[in-house]
Amino acid sequence: MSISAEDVKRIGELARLHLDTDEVERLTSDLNAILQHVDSLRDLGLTEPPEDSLQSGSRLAPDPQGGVEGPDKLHETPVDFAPEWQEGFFIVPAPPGVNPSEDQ
Amino acid sequence: MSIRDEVLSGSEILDVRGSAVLSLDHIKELEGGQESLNAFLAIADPEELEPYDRGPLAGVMVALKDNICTKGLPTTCGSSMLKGYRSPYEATVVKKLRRAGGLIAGKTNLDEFGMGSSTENSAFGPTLNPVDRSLVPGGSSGGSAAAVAAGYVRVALGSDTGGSVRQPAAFCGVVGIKPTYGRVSRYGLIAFASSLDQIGTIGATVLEASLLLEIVSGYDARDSTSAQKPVPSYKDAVVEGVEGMVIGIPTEYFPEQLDPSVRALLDEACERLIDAGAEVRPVSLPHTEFAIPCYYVLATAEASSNLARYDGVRFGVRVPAEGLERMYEATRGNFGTEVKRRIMLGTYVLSSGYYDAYYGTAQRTRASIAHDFKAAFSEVDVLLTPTSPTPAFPLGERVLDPVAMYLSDIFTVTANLAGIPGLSVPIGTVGGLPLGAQLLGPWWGENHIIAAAGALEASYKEDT
Repeated sequence: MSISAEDVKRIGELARLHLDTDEVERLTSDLNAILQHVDSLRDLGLTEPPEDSLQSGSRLAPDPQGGVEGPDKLHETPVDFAPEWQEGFFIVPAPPGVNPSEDQ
Repeated sequence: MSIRDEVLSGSEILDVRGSAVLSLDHIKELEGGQESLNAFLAIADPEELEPYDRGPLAGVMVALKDNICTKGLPTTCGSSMLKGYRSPYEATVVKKLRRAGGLIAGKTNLDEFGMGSSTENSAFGPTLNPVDRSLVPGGSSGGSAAAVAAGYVRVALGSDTGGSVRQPAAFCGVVGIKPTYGRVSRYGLIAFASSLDQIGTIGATVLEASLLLEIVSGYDARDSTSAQKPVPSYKDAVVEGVEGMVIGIPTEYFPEQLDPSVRALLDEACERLIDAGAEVRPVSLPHTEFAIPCYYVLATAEASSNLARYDGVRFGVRVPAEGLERMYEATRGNFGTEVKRRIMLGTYVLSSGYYDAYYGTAQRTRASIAHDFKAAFSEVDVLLTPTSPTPAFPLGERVLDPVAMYLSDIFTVTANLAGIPGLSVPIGTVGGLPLGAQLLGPWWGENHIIAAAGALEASYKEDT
C-alpha cells in the first residue's frame, strides 16, 4: 500500500501539522518506506487473536490486580490529589503572557 | 571480589558508592565545558538540595530522564514544545525517591518525547557516548545511561517504550531494567504510547539498578494500570544465583545475519550461566519477525493521540498566528522531524479505511507475540538474547534512514508489546565497545532476571 503526496497533505491536516513542500516530499518517501516494512504484518493473515487471549496482548498476563478490587479513584475528592486547591478550584500556574494580577 | 562479598545492605553499598559520586558543581563544570556529553538538560542547584540522612538512598544522587515530572526543575521531554515547562506536580517515582533519601541531581537528555534510539532527536542537541564520543549513547534514555556510564551518578531513571532503557544501557556498558507493565507507577511520566510506556532504572551495577527498582515499584492509586502486587526484595534476588534455573535461548533472536562477534559473546554468557548451575535450552518465539512493524503501528497510533494535546491551548509553547487553526499548526511546528513523522504514521494507520488493515492487524499480532512468551515461560524461567544487534553506532549514521533506526530495537520491542520485564547487563566488548545481554522474564518475574543478571555480573567480576 503506497501513499501519495496528496495523502500526506491530507494526513497533515488531520494531525494539525503544517507541512512545507520539502517536508511533504520527505514524509511521502519516509512513510512509504516504513509502510512497506509494516505491510509484512498482513502476510501473517491474522484475522483472530490466539485462542486463549483477548484482543489485547496484555490480557495474557496475570491479572495485575490479582482479583482484588483497588480503591476507586472516583471516591477520592479532588482536594485529595490536587497539587493546590482553593475554594473549590484547582490552582495552576498562569499561562505564558498572562499576568494573574490583571484578573483580580 | 564477587558482588556477593560486597553485599551487606543496599544502603551501605550506595552510601559507599555515594561518597565517590562527583559533586553537582563538578558535573556542572564537566557538562558546561568543551568536553560536555550533553547528558543533562538541567542540573540541580546544590544549595536547593535537601539532604536526608536516612533511607536506603540517603544522600545518593539520582538523575531523572526529562520526561518525568519533577518539581523545582524544568520538564521538557527534549522538545521545543515544552521548553521551560515546569510541572505543577511531581511524579510518583520522584516522590518515592525523595522519601528514600535520594537527591535529584538533574534532568537528563532524551530523544524528543522518547521517540528515538540514539538521543539524536533531542531539540537540545545529541548526547555523546562516554565510551567513545563519536558514537551515540543509544536512546531514548541516552542521557541517563551516559550520566551513569560517565560516573556523574551511580543510578538514574529512564523510560522504556520499546527498549529505551535497555538499549542505551547496553551501548554505554551499564545495567538497565524495564519492569513488568504496571509494576512502577506512570503517574507523572509524560505519555508517548501509554500501553507500552514503563519507567525503568539504570545503574552502574545490577545491585544498584535493582535496589532503585525496588524503591520505585509498587501500587499507586493515581495510575489505573498500576498493579496491586507485592514487591519482592530485588536486592536479595541479586545474590540468589541460578542453580536449577532453566534459561531459554530463542532461536529467532540469533539470526544468521547476527554479527559473529556478538554471537560469540552471547555464547560465552550462556556458558557462564551453565557453569553457575543453570540449564540452557532452545525455545521458539515464532512471531518475533513481526514485532517491529507491529510496534511501530501501535506506538505511533498511541503517540498521535497522546500528542494531540500539544496545541498551544492545553499544553505547549503557543506560537501566535492568525486564527485558531493556524495557531494550532504554528504551535505544532515546535515538534521535531521524528515526532512529526510518527504523528503522521499514527494518524494514517488510525484513519478511516486503514484502521483494521494496520491497527487491528497489529493488535492481533501483539496478542500472538504475548502468546509466544506465555508458551515459552511454561518451559523456561528466563530468556537470554542480545539487547541489540550491534554495539553503539556512529552519530549521524541512521538519522536519515528511519527504518534502519527502528531496526535498532528489534530485540527489545517484544517485551513492551507483551508487557514482560527485561534487563540488559554488560557481557564484554566488541571492537572495544560495550555489548549487553538481554534477560527476559515472565510477568512479575523481575526477581528471576535480576538473579540471572547478578550471576552473570559476578562471573565476569571474577575474571578481573
